[in-house]
Amino acid sequence: MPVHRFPFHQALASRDLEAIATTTRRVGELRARLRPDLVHLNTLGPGVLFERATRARGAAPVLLTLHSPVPSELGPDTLAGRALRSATRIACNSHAVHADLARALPEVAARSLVVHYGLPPMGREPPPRPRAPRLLAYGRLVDEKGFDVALRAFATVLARHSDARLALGGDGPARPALARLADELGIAHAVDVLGLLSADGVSAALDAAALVVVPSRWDEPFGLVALEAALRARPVVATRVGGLVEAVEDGVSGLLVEREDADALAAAILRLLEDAPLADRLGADGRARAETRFGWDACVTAYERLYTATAATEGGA
Amino acid sequence: MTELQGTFAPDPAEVVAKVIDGELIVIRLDDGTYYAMGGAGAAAWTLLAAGHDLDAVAATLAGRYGIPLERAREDVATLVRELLAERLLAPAPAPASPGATTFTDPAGAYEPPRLEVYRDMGNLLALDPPTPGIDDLTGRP
Repeated sequence: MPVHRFPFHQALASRDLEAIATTTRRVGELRARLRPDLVHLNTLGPGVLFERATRARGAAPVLLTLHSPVPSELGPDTLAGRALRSATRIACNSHAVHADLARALPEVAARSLVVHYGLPPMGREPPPRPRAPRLLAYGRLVDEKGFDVALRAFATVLARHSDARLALGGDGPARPALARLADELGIAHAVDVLGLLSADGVSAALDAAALVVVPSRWDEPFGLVALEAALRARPVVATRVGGLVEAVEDGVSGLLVEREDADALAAAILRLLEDAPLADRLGADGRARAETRFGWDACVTAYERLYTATAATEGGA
Repeated sequence: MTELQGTFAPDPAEVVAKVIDGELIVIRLDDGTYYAMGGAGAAAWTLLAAGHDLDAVAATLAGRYGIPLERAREDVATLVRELLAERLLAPAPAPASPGATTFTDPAGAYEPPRLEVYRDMGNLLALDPPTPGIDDLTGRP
């Protein structure tokens, strides 16, 4: 299947009008040539603008996938508001996002539904869960992800298990502040900063972890990290926020604690580190749950049906 | 109507603007607000930015689209008010000779100028940052 890539983000972020015009023209030409039955906007991002700007070159129903928090500004002078109001169907990646959307724009609720993320099956069996106290947290290093809370919790864990280590994967603007906090807490010697992880790097980091911490403080739309951990049979300690409660079932695939509560996070981590049978069970049950409820096949089947139904919608976008 | 007398120009320190393929794109630099306008609106912008006053712009549009002069004048006045309110244009000294503007593309059916405004472009760019390592996807099955 040919893939055509366009610099939507780059063109708009650079405010380069020639690049915007060139990109619009190229998308329009592709659209006129393909005459698509359906346009799938896989994110509420800059690509939305180019879809709107090229509608005259080939009208088609629009399926919009929403896997980010519902924007607070959705007026008629916002691209997000117009895109959501005019989309033929909207697929939300969690019930939490779907509920937020219905609250913000009740008029689109009837055209929206939930399609959870799916991940392809793992290529190989995960190795046995390490018995050593190895913790892993990863994602964009931004304030919303709450990695500072994880560091504070880890300081408590380290006081009880002096051989504990926390691997921190990912990159982002909060990285310097997190390094400073680890120094201030006196735990920097036990924190391994992994930097940006490739797909293989994520698998390797998960395999080396006894458990995974997802300490988000914002309303996480879903929590893909928790799902990746479950597929590698690693139990998850996460916060009870947004769609994370769908990705992690408390007592089945991990333990949930309240956001911003470093003490509760530390207690849950210690509980799993000190109760290996429980941690093993949460890992195994989490994996089974992930494969059945969030498997690749289920996601593909749901989108296949949605494509068919959306393409058949009279009137299109 | 006094605010509509005289000539106007975009301030290059405030906005970047261009008409490409008959479509006007304007981005306000201080907050990234994005504007788009096609058809008669883009033609009107081209004339205004070239230093023509409201009456001259209305006369040109009336001739180009075959509409009554008074209607063209009302529509252009509405548009100029909106462009001033959005700080996309500001009063400017009349140039010694306004730029000659000839339109080579067909005019199409007349529709009153309609400025599309997207004030959340900065938010959308932040929501969807480029995927790290996306270049590595090239060649994947």
